[in-house]
Amino acid sequence: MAYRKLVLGLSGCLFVLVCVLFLQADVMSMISSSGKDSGRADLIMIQAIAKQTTKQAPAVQFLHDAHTEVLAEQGKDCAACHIKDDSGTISYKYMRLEDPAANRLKDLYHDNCTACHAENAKARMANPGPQIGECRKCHVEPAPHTQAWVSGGMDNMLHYIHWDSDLIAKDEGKDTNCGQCHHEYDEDKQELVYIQFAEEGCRSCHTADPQEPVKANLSEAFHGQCVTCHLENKEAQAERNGPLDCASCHGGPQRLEMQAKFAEKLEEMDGVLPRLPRNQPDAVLLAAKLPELPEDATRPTLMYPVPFNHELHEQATDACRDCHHETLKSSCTDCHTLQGSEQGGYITLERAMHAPDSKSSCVGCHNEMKQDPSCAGCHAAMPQGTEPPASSCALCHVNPDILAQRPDGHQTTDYADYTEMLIPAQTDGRQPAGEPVIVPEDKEGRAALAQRLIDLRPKEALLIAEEDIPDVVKIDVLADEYQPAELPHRKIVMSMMEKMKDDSLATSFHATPVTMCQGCHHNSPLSKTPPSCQSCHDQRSQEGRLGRPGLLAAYHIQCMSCHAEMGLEKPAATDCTSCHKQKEN
Amino acid sequence: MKRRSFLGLMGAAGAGLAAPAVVPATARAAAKDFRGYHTTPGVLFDGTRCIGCRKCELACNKVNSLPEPEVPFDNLEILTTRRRTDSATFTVVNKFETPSGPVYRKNQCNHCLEPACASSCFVSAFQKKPDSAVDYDDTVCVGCRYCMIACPFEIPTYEYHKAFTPRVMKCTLCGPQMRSGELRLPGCVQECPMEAMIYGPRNELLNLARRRFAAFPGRYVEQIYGEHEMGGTSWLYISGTPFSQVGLREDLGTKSAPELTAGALAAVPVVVGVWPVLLGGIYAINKRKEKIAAQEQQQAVSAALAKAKAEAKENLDASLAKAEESANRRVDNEVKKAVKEALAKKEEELKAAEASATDEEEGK
Ligand code: SF4
Ligand code: SF4
Repeated sequence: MAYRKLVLGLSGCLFVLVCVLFLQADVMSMISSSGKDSGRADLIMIQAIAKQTTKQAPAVQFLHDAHTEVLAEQGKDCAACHIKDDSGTISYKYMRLEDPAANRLKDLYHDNCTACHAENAKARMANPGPQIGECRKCHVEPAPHTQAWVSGGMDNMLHYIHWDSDLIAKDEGKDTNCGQCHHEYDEDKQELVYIQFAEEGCRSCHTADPQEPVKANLSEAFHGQCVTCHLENKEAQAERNGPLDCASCHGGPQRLEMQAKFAEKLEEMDGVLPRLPRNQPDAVLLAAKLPELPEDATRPTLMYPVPFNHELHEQATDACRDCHHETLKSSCTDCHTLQGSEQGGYITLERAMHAPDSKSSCVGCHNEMKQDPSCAGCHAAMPQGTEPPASSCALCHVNPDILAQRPDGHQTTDYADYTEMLIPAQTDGRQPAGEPVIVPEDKEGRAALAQRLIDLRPKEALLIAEEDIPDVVKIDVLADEYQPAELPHRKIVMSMMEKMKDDSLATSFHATPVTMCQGCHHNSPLSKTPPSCQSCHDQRSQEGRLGRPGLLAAYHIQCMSCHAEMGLEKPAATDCTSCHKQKEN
Repeated sequence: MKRRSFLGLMGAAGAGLAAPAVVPATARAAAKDFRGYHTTPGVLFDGTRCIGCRKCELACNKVNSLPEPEVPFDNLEILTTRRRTDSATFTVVNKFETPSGPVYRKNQCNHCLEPACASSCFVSAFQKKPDSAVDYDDTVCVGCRYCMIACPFEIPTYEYHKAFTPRVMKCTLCGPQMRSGELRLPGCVQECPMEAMIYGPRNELLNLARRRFAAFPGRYVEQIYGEHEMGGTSWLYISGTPFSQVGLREDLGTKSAPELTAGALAAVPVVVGVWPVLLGGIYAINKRKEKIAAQEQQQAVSAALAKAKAEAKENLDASLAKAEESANRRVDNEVKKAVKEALAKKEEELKAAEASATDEEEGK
């Protein structure tokens, strides 16, 4: 008797379980089968009731773009759901400028959503949207959609498209239109004003949690500014109005598509974007700001200042904020001091410039460039410790006195004590014979010095005379199974030189005619006639040594990993006879 | 049964411990203590170097005089099929497709520091040698193939095709050839054109691996497989792809086999008796070794299942007993309560009776 009850009970449970599983499976398959729901950029969780202490219903998953589309079909636009403030800026919030109390907010959503849906029903729309009483059509759990969006930042090209646009009105009396977006708060006038050449990035004031007098946080500022303008353009029936949906800016695939288009456009422009009209410097002399020192204190030892090609780096980065982070108004050394400061997140100047794994440091960014297949063949094989190689310091930290040595260098006679804080980057006594060059204190003077030093950099890749490069190198020390391999040595060198021809990073950093050779002839001093591979990798087998490859492996590792890194499909690493001809017996 | 008493029993039975004679005393002292192995040789396999040329397979075949393979060594198509070692192939290279292109990994006996095969073998056919090789002695092997079940890496295989003198076959780390002076390095290591394998003292290999991690940040999963797995192995792996994606089990934990198997053996002693019979039966029916392998796996699974079942039953019994106990307690309590209530009632009745008696008396 007791057993029967138990069996009945158990099978009941099992039945319920099976039902639940089936239902679940059904729901799951529904989600995954509609590709759109694999992650939506336009999904907004309406958690208006977040202010309430108790949750009354599951949050609503609102699909913004689905609504925008339908409204467009009905001839309506953003104004159907969003109101404008006194200045005509459209509110980021639904049907309101400010948030009322929680229960009022709830009513606001309920009344306005359902009112529109009811109208739709009256107009006999096929899918009018949930009506009053159909609570669970909006308040669904588990949530049927997932959110996936990317940050919709402005890169250089998008920025250019805006300031180049005729649709955006020009600033008063100027032929630029920057003032239409960039503004500053004037304390005295208590209003937003535009100051030319002092434009800031939006993020500098509109943070996630803005401080008075800034009102709008970042997303409110962006959406208010961008959407209002795009909408106005649309109303004016301009030929292009900019996106009014979410996915165009925040959709992953859409963003990629846009970037591809931009790349095409850049190519049409010969790869050069016009420079931003902000009066930014062409060249900057980067030197540490000296801390306040007591009279009798010894100065800290510093490196020579670094002439920085600002103009060139504008082209090489995606946006100013890649280097300038939050604000354009201070230079690197304002926040990144020698000892580190709170403003600079306690990242010292040395780290800010040299951290090898940070995208915003010089070395880190240059390291990233080395991943380009043209460079990776050599660079991927080079051990990279946590520090850049010491030998490369002098490439950036140039002794300005080379100007005195060069025939085209301008001799200065205005000397000061400033050089005391500079340590010689070269310790081999190759100090200039003449008087040291003064590092000017004023901005213009420093920029001019930086420019002169930059101008001394090689304009094209350096290389020894072609006939000095061995043509074909026969590798026969390993030939027992196969015929000797013939390494087209000169051809390899020349094709690599060809690849780095137009790369200013490469031409500046491959500073001598034999630097290139180091890609293969590593660990040996720079020389036109570097020691042969055998001098270090002398044994065929690894016997008796640990880690340093024997000759056979050294050749194979070097050639094959270079080919792999450069993306050369042929010859396949396992196709022995493409390099070593089969031996005829 | 406790591990100590199990081992003691085995010792008493004349079977001897797993590898007592040759292993340094410090290593023997406790399964957890591997200090004695640090300078013994090992092989470091660097997965970022292997190009999948199968030269190591060829070399292994040559130095061990193994039969010609079905698929010749210059056929690289075979790499895409997932292969395991067998009685005529001590090492195989498998190809794994990853988002960043194909990755190859060589597979052979890992020459565990505390080998599961050895600890499971009650005739001591397996011995860990001071040169790191886990050696197999076919003259004492009784063919129970316990080692095959015990090895977490599925390495030892059996010569099913040999009716009279079948042996357990696996990579020997070229121990015999190197001891006799015929080879200076294991055959595969010697032949690899990429030096994807390096032979040397295990501690130095660990250092070398770490140096590579430091010199090439981002290239490696910064972990050395075999450093701790199963209590450590003489064969070590570094890789650019997560180990589980190149067919290395990451669920093995860091306990050595003797620590683990001793408990397992103690828990299912019946298997020791039944196993040879069982396998004999299987051998008779199935000549094809793949089939057997599959079956063996199933056997292992069902053995594990049986063990789990037994455990579950035990648990069930225990909880039933507990339930019964608590039910009994409840009944007891109920009874006590009932008795108490009954007594109280009785008392009240008595009192009432007495009262009425007095009343009556008073009324009188
Ligand atoms: S890998 Fe397997 S066969 Fe090799 S030593 Fe370890 S347990 Fe024994
Ligand atoms: S010989 Fe070396 S490179 Fe070739 S498959 Fe074996 S381990 Fe890989």
